Amino acid sequence: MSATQFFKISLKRSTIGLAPDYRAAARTLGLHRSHQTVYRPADSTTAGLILKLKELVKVENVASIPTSVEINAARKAARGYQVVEKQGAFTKI
Amino acid sequence: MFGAFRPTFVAQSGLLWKNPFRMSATRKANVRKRLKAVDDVIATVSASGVKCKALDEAMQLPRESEMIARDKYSVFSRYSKGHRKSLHKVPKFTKKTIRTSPPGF
Repeated sequence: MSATQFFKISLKRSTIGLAPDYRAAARTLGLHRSHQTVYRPADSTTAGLILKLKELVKVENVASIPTSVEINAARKAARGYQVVEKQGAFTKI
Repeated sequence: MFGAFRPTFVAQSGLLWKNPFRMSATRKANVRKRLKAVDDVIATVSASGVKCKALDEAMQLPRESEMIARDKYSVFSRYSKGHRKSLHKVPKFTKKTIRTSPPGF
């Protein structure tokens, strides 16, 4: 396994109706709404907050924080076709 | 018997919430699913190599596969018959850590 540098944390269950300390822990992690994903450095502070919210979150160990370009590229569906040749490629308008 | 003035629970007292005594097989399956999801979170944090008190405490908890059915689906209750009640009677039981019983119960 590659070295864990960051935790990828997603809030899967809402903090609505929970005690203020749970809501504060989610807020401290930067989780403001359901299904939001944040990246936090893998340290004991973050681990403690995750384990406080262990019923509510989904966690992955990642080596780096992906950029928005990488996230969008991973989300993008395959085109389903391949451009072989473009018609009128040499025509100047 | 029938009609607008029938003596049902709703007609007599208004709002009625029915709360089954036992959980269905599906609800119990969902309990197991949530327990496994929490096990995954603990295992992931443990695999990261980070050390902290919260992790030590979490590692002390029994895993879903190690728990007996009694602990999975019921909890200790001071006032219930037999000192046990079904897990779904606990407020917010899906967002709490309830895995062990007090010694002797």
